[in-house]
Amino acid sequence: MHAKVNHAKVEFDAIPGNLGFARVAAASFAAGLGFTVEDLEDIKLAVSEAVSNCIIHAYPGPGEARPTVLMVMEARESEFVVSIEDKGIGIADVAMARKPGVTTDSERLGMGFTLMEALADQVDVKSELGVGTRVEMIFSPERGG
Amino acid sequence: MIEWEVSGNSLVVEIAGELDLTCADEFRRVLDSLIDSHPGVARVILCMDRVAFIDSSGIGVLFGRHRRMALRGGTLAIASPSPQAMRALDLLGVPSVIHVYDTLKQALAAEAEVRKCTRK
Ligand SMILES: Nc1ncnc2c1ncn2[C@@H]1O[C@H](COP(=O)(O)OP(=O)(O)OP(=O)(O)O)[C@@H](O)[C@H]1O
Ligand SMILES: [Mg+2]
Repeated sequence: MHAKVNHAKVEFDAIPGNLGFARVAAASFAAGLGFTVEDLEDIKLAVSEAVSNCIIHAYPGPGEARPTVLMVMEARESEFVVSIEDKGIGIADVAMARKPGVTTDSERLGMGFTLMEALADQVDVKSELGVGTRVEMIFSPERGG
Repeated sequence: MIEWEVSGNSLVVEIAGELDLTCADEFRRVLDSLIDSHPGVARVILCMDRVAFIDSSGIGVLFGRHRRMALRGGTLAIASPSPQAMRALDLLGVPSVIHVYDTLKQALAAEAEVRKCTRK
């Protein structure tokens, strides 16, 4: 297949109403890259987890700036790379937050990062307190799972 | 989004749509009020064949209701999950905690079986 190189950037308000939009945007960008329907469902689920985290956790207080999420999608050769970024409170201990069942919200399962790791070929999390969090996930169509 | 009926000892709830952050609170409220208004029901069966999408926000609600039913000595089960729902449930190991049946018929039959055993 021809190597495809492409990229798209969307910035949106960190509100629940934009979650479905983010999922569909990522899946339709990835749709031309050789993924199966099941793969695209996996991409939707992983994106839903990352974007939900920005909406739920990143902006807890009344801040002066408008809370937003930046989603950057890239087609690199045969891979789909998506990064989801906020300018929120950040995560104090990323390694701890990524563990299954770790949550700062008693109503939640603490399984978002665990799902992202199960779904994507690679997950990279960068976070700084008071600056924000960036989650990058890489998916390739030919993966065995 | 949610339809329900009582069948024998079970409250059968049909869920449809996308169970994410946008509707998790409402989903929780509706299920809780259904559970509370049917104190005699021993089991809640959630039919999930029309669930187009579910993520950890939705699955968190399922776990919470499972716990709620367990607290009153009842159970919660899932019937006929859509492929996407089954995938998400599997990835989170839900079937080892909450019974998942392929069809509503199987879920109802299993319940009858449980009742027969406990009556002895
Ligand atoms: N973008 C973010 N900004 C600030 N904190 C975050 C962010 N993403 C995750 N976290 C922190 O990491 C923890 C773990 O995230 P994870 O998605 O695994 O679980 P959760 O969101 O708490 O629960 P679930 O995803 O199962 O609903 C969160 O409880 C939160 O404290
Ligand atoms: Mg989460």
